[in-house]
Amino acid sequence: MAYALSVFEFRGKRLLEVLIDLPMVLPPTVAGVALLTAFGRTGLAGQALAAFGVSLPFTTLGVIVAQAFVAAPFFVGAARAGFAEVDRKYLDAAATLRAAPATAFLRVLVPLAAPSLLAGAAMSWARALGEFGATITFAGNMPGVTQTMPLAVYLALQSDVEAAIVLSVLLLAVSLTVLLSIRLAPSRLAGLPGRVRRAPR
Amino acid sequence: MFDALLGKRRGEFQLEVAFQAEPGTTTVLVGESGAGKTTVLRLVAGLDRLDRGHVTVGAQHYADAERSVHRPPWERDIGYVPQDYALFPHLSVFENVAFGPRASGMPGHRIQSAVMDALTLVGIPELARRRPHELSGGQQQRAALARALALQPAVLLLDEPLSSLDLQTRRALRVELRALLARLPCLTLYVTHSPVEALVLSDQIVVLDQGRVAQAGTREALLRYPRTSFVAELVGTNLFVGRPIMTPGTEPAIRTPEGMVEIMETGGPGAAYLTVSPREITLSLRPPDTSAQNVFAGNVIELVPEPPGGERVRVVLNTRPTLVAEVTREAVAALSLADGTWVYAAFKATGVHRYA
Repeated sequence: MAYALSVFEFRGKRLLEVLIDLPMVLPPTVAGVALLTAFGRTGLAGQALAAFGVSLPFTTLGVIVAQAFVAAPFFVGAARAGFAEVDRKYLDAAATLRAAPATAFLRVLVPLAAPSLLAGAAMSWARALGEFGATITFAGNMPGVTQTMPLAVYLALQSDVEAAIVLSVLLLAVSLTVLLSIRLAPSRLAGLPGRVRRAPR
Repeated sequence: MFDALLGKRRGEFQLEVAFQAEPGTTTVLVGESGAGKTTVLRLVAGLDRLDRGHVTVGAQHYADAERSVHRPPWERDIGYVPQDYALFPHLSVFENVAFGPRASGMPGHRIQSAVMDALTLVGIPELARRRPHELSGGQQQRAALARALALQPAVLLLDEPLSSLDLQTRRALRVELRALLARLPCLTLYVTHSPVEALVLSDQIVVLDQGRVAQAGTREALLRYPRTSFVAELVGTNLFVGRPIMTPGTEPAIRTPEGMVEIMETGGPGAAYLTVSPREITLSLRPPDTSAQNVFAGNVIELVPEPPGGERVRVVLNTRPTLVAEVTREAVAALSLADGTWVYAAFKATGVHRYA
């Protein structure tokens, strides 16, 4: 989807972009309510899934859906920018070397956009890690089933302050690590030269 | 047999180019930047779509705008070296060259030898493990060439392969490239703005001027019989186009839009092309009273050492038509020629080469 957005021009592209970015600015609880409405027992998507015996609200799967919904825009945005940055000349070269678009995508575009893809993945993972509102609204807060770390922190704060602090420090460390690795090593992670020097003239 | 009729419109720019070529030969497309050279290669490669015309290689129709045929690049038997090489920065030289064989589904055990053969052909088998950014400009050029040749394409497309290299590397590679192209069984389309490369590397030259073919032919034909002032400038000679004066009893002469040019023999009626070698033109500060019959006056607009840093100097004048004289350094010093100097350019009737 990010690839399509970075490469093609089409009608309604702006609208699609806005829809994708919407969860980023939406209050997470509202996102949770929206998910609940859609996937709840009476929701359209919920009824469709129920036919397959799947129910999302207040399940572990529901947590994943809620977090993906809120965090996905971070990844799509980063991936889109990453794909757009890749010089078209590499895709042209790949096309003249017998690479059909799918091959060129996998063997040229994705590796060259890898730093952005990794950064986007890390960002959205970090966002999902801290997700609170949508999760608790859509999936509830059941220890061992749908309780995430931020939810545990919130609960612990009311009974066991030390546990809350330990959990918070842990989350802080994880977030910091993610951010640092994004800042410092995306190129190296992807196996690209840090800076491509121009040939001496 | 390669047959192309390429029509493409891009904003104000209109390309309309037709030419043929034989397998095993090199066709050099030469022209200034903006003449449409790169567009020609992109159309043949299939990276751009034809508005009009066709591209046929042997019995295969790569593109035919009238019948809405457009084979995508990855289904054409071509090798393409773009101007900036576009080596994949995330892959080693070996993997760059192996890209085509892998994408085309070549069995794994044959890839190793196909890649090393291609690298050996261009003389850099020892660089297989390097990354593109660790290579010099000349080495990158060879790697890109090897990548394009790894699948032994029927048509090889080279876009200004030497232009981003320094002068010394360029000279060395030009010689090598000529030997290599002569050995290859494929048909080569070579794009350049350099007349020297066109003359050295070509079996056939197609001169492009503003999206059109100004003239096409062997280097001998172009050197001896240029048809347009653009081609004449390219091969470094002076061209007049006019009609003979057929009045009996007068000196043989050709009437051109720029004035009369006296020659040795009138020749037949009809359009007359006259070339005057720059070396046949003498320069003086006063009107010459010598036996030179043809005199044009104008200002010096450019002084170009020829060859660069060499013994002779090409003097470009704003006469009509623009004349180029080639004189010695001493002559330039003796006349104290500089930009703007008013000079008389003279040449004898015997110095004029006339053809129909």
